[in-house]
This record gives sequence, structure tokens and C-alpha cells, in this order.
Amino acid sequence: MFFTILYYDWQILKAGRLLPIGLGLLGIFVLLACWTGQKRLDFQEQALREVANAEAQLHRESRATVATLQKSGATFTGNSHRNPLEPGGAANATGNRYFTLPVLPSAIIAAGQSDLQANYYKFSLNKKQALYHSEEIENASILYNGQFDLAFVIVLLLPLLAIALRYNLLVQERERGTLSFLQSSLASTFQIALAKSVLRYALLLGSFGLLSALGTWIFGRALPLESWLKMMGIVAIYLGFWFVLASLIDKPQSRSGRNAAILVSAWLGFSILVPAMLNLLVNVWYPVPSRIKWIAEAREAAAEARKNSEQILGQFYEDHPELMPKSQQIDYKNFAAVSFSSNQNIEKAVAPLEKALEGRIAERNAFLERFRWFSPAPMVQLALEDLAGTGHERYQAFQTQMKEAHEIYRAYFAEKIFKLEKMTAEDYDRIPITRFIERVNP
Amino acid sequence: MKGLRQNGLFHILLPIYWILFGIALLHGSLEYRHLNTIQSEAQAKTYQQWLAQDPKSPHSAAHYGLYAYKPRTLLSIIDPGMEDYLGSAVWMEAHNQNEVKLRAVQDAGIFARYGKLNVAYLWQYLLPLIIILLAFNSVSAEYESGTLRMVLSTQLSARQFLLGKIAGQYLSVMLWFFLPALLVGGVVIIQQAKGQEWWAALPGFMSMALFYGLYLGLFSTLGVLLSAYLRHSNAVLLSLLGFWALGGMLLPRVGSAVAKQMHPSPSAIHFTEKVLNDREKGPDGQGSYEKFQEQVKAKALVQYGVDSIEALPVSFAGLALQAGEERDWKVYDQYYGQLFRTFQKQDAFLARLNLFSPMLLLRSISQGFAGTDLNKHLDFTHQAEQKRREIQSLMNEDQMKNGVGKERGYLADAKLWQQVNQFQYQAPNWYQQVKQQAWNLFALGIWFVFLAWGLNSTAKKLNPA
Repeated sequence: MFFTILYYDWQILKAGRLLPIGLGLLGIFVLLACWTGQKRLDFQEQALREVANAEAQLHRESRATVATLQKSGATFTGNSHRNPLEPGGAANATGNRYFTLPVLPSAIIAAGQSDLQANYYKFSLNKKQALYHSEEIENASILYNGQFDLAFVIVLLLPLLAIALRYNLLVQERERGTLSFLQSSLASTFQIALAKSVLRYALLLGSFGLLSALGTWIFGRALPLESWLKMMGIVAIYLGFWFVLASLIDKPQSRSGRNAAILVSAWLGFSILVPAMLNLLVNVWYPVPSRIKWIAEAREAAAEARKNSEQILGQFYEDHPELMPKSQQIDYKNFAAVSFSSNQNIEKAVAPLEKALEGRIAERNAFLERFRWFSPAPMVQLALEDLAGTGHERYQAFQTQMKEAHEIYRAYFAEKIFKLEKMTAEDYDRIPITRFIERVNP
Repeated sequence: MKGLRQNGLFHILLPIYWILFGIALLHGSLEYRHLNTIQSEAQAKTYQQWLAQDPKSPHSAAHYGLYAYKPRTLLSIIDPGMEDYLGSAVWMEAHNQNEVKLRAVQDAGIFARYGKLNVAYLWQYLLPLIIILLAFNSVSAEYESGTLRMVLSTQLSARQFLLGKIAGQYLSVMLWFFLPALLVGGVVIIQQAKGQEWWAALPGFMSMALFYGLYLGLFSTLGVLLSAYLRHSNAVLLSLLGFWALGGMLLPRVGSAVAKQMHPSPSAIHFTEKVLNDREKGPDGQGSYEKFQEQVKAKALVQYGVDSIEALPVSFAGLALQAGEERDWKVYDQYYGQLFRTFQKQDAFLARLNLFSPMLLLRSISQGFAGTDLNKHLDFTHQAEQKRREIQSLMNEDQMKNGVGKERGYLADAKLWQQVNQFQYQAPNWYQQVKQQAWNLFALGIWFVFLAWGLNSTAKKLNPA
């Protein structure tokens, strides 16, 4: 009986307008999401290529300049801040290294944090706090509107299509007067509702699966099978939630309009209001310490460091006797050494604020993680972002590794700066290159 | 109106709305106070730090620089707009035109993309949805139950009947949802205002009130007319919900993707490399900085009729620094000019799309009058850069005048630092805000013309058959 209902319902659906309109819209949404995803990834990959080229070109040119100067014994006559023979000039201008986050093959699924956080950092001798200023250039209006990605289709649009297909299955039979006819057959009301729901669920899920595979392939960003299967697993559960919810609302004695109103309200609540409310509550309970405060604190420390620069530099050598120059004479006029040791002091002054900020962000995220169960929408969104490699966890790992890599980079030059050594062509080959290591398995 | 108040949905939606409104307003008000306190304290502190500098060369002071902080507007309590996506502080230092940094959204955590509930969001998205849910069967139910024949058999004309339905919907939403909320919002804003701030914000607040009022009228009219036109409650509801979802959720994202393809903005690496390159090589083929310095020197010697730097009546260091600054300004004007023009083209495209969505129209108008949109941000960026250039010129002129013979050895003191006034952002006045919103206001007008036509033609076709 179940399959008979299924068959006849399929015939009715085929003849009606709802199915072609619904699936047509789904097709447009998925293809649009794949197109915007392709453009987004092209942009990010192009930027990463430019980073790699800039890094390689700078290294090539600086190395060649130093080799020429070494050979001729001439001194550098250009801008002193960009002197490639000086480790300070190399660290800040002529030997810059970048730390980059690769784009994963599954990144087309969700933009996630990729347009909000930096995907590459340029290293110099600057304070590590300066790195937090790295970000991609983007029009705030576009950032504010958000990305039309597959995650948006899945989290916000698929439920609307599910509601449109399922909201009045039983009510409609009653309103048309065909429910009693169906009930007079051997099937129970439950079986009727189940067969109709399963058909629509399978059609929606199958169409999404097919369209997403096809769309990503057409736009040259075919998903790896494993990622596609994981995405479909998430979609299957999420769609299941909306079909079950719609089934609970759709009682024969109800009214179509009432069902639609309740389901759309539930969609608005789960998808938009609950997450926005959680965001608001976390802001009240765990307000983020403003980075603006860092500015004043860092400037205070900078002014203090300037007054005591000689003392700070002397103290630095006391703490690091291994960095004493061969002459055993401290050069208090060495700009790079003074600047580096002063920056260390500024970093120490700002460190408590930085720690407080990081701690608070962790508390906020823990709160949101704990309460995300209030709504399926953010749960699915976050799962998709993790799958795409654009989630918070991967970006946090990226920033942690970036800070470690920055330390390695600075330590390499610090040794030469404090020992008052010059850069050689070979030294340029030894400037540390650190690459991001995937620790999270999306 | 009476019928609406008997609607069960009305009694469910009303308390939900007021709870959400209360929380959103309270949060908006707390956030405004918190952020403005931080901003004004930081502004005062960094200015004090500037004044407290020890004697040093003017150029060192220029490198130490100052910060400009973007103040939150009073009306951001109602509509924080894009503020979380825009930076809030910019370092005004020698040589570099820095970008406005510190976007709050970067620290917002895993739910960053969902935004924070705010009053404007409730008025722009939730109130139209409430109107849709209350109005979708306002006329179609009369068709379905057969009572329309009875109503129209009286002396009441179809137009009067429709206008009555629209007025009923509109007044219910205005009296129970919007106007009391506006009053409470106004009281909170007055309470948060310092001194004359409230008077300065009043035209913006009144404009927001007016356009939100018109906007709710637009949705009430649309709901009733579609209910009369389509005649089947289910079809009306699905159409209105589709319009709401497409206009509010889908269109801005699709529009953004298209705008970005039509007017692509550069990546940060591309932009900074270009700026660095042009600064190194010179904007007009002037050559490297070193060559440029030689040109400046040669020009100065001719101008002052002397044969050595030492014989110049001004400090060459100051002269060269100012010439270098002016050379860099050309580069910044070119690249930042291009970038901001690209943003404005993207925004102009998005504004054209607003025509298809009253929600997006009102969103832009509301942010414009609240001073939380991109226009204000670009204006702030421009004013901060002008201030930076003013500071650089002042420092370099002092070096030129007082550094003769001492060059980089010349030390300026607090007298010079005091000549730099604290940066105060001058927000656009109400007239400028209206001018910036001209297209959106025109598009809103088009919607009303369309609805007037819709009312007329629907009234003509309204018959109970």
C-alpha cells in the first residue's frame, strides 16, 4: 500500500506545478552558489599565487643585489630602511616571508571565516600585534550581505523548499475532500503522510545531491567524493528535521495557512532569530575587550621604551649573552636592535590584554558551542564550514601556527641584528620558510 | 482592526515581538554606551600621549602619529547597520595612508555571520513578516467564505473596502507594534544622549520614523492587494513569503556576488604591492626615492639661488620630507581613489537592486539616516586622511623653518605638539544624508506609485464571483 500511495503521489506531483517550480528554483540556487563559490575560490587562489610570486621575486632580487654588493665590496646607497645587507632591512623589507592558509578542495561548500579573517600574513620585525591588522580588502556592504554559497542554500533555502513541499500534505487532502477517500483504503493516515513525505524528501535530497555534484563539476570545483558524501549526510539529517517538524504541524484538522505560518515562523526563529539572540546574549555576558584599548596601552609602552631604550637594550643583552657581538661592544645607535628590544617590551605590556581577549573569545565560543543545540541551523552551518576548511577551528590553528612561525622568523634575524652581522646571499636562502600544517581533519 | 485583534496569531506575535524588541533595544543602548566610552577614552588618551611627547625631531613625532577613532552615532542604538563590518580606528602616521582597522566582526566568534539582534532588524524583517501573516487572508478569506458578496452588496465601494482593509492592517501594526516601540526607542535615545546630541540626531530619527512608517504601510497595502488579487489564501501566503525571502535574504547575496564580478576589487596583496611599487618608483616616472631626493635638491638650489644645501634658508630635511609626502599622496590618491570608486560602483549596483526589494530599500535608508553605512565610513576615512596630511605638513614645515643648520638634529617640543588639534569627525548633516539617499527615496516613491496603480486596478476587478 505504501508504494501504491507513493506511485500515485508521484503521478500527481509530476502533473502539478509545485515540483517543477521547486526543483527549478533549487537548480538555480545550487548553480548560483557553485558559480559564486568558483569566483570566491579563484580570487583566494589568485591572491595566494600573488603572495608566492611576490615572496619568490623579492627573494630573487634581494639575493642578487646582495651577491653583487658582496662581490664588488660596494656599500648599499638606497633607502637605509631597505638595505638588504642589514638584517633589519632584510627582515622588514627585502627578505619578507609570508605565512599562508591553503584553500581546500571542499572550500566551495562554505565561505565561513574566509572573507572575515586573513588568509595570509606578511612577516616583518614588527610587533606581533601588528599582524592582527592583516585582512583581505573587501567592501563592507558585500561582507555585510554575506556569501551566496552552498551552505546558505542548505541552511536557509532548502528548509523553505521542504516547507513548501510538505506544509499541507494532509490538510490539503482534507480541504480538497479527498482525505476520507484515501482513508477508506487500507492505508492509515500515518502511512499516507509517511509515503508522501518520503517521496518529497527523497526528491529534494536526491535533486540537491545531483545538482551539487553537477554544479561543482561544471564550475571546475568538483567536490572530492568523501566531502560530498559528508555534506550529503549533513543535508540528509537537516532536511529530515524539517520534514519531521512539518509532519508534526500538518494535522488533518489544521488549516494550510496556519501550517505555513507556523513553519515559516519556526524557520525564522531557528535560522535567524535564535542565532542572532545567542550572539546578542554572548555579547552581554562575555563582551569582547576592545582592541582599541591595546592601541593606547601599546603607545604608552612605546613612549616608555623610547625614554629607556638604552637601558632596555642593555637588559636584552644581559638576558641573551649568546647574542653579544664579537666585539663585545653594544651599539646603542643600532636602530634595528633598539627597535627590536623595545618592541619586545611593548609586546610584554600588551600581553595581558591580548591574553584577556583570547580568553574571552574562547569563552564566547564555548558558550555558543554549548547553546548551538538550541537551533539546528547554526549546527549545520558550523559543520559545513568545518567540512569546507573555512571554520573557526582551522582559522584558529592557522593563527596559532602563524604566531609560532613569526617567532621563528624574527629569531633568525634577531640573532644577526644583535650580533651586528651583515646579511650574505646565502643568508637569504636560510630565511625560515614555514608552511601551515593541517591539524584538523575536515 | 477589531477583526485582527481577534486573530489568535496576533496574540502570539505581539508578546514575542515585544520581548525581542526589549532585548534588542537594551543591548543596542548598552553597546552604544560601552563602545563610545572606549572610543572617547582612547581618543583622549592617545591625544594626551601625543602632547606628552619628549622633545624630538618633528619627523619622529610624525611617525609616532595619532589615532582617529570613528564615533558611534546615537541612532546606532536603533540601527547599528554595517558598523561591525567596518573598522573603527586608523593610525595617522608619516608616509603611510593606513586603512581603517579593527572590525568587530573578526572577534565575534563562531556565530559572527548571524549578526546581533537589533531594533532595525526587527522593523525591517520581522514586522513585514508579521504583516504578511496577519494580512494574507484579509480579502481571500472573504472570497473563500463567500462574505465578500455580502460586503460589496452594501453601499461600500470596492476601493473603500480595500482601503478599509489596508487601514485596518496598517493601524493595527502601527498602534500595537511600531509607534509604542518608536516612543520607547526615542526615550532610550534621549536618555543616552549627551548635551545637544539629541537635537543633532532628531532630524535623522524623525526621518527614520517617517520612512519606517511608510514602509509598513507599503507591506500592509501589498498584503491586502495580493490577497484580493490572488483570492486563494494559500497562494497569497506563499507568494508573500516568497517575496519576503527573496527580497530580504536572497537578493542581497546574489547582488553582492554579481556586483563583485562586475566591479572586482583587488586583493590586499595586489593592492599593497602596487602601492609599495609606485611609492618606490614614483608616480610620474620620477624614479627611486634617491633620484627623487636629488631632483628636490636641485630644484631647491635653483629656487633659493644657492649652491649648497647648507646655504639654504630652510632645512633641507623638512623640504625633502614634505616633497616625499606629496609624492606619496599622489600614489595614495590614485590607488585608494580607485579602490573607493570600485566600492561605490558596487554599492551603486546594489542600490539599483533595492528597487526590487522594499526591505533592502529601507535597510539602506535606515542605515543612511543612522549614520552606520558605507558612505559615512568613507567620509570618515577621507577626513582622517586629510587630518594626517595636515599633521605631516605642519611637522615638515616646522622642520623647514626651525631646523636650519641642525637638520635631523633639530628637536621640537610641546609647543609644536599643541598646534595639532584633536581629530573630531564631522558627520554629514541631514541634508547631505537625504542627498545620499536620493535614489532609494525615489525607488520607494516608485513602489507607492505601483501600489496606487495596483489598488486602482484591483478595485476595478474586485467582484465576489
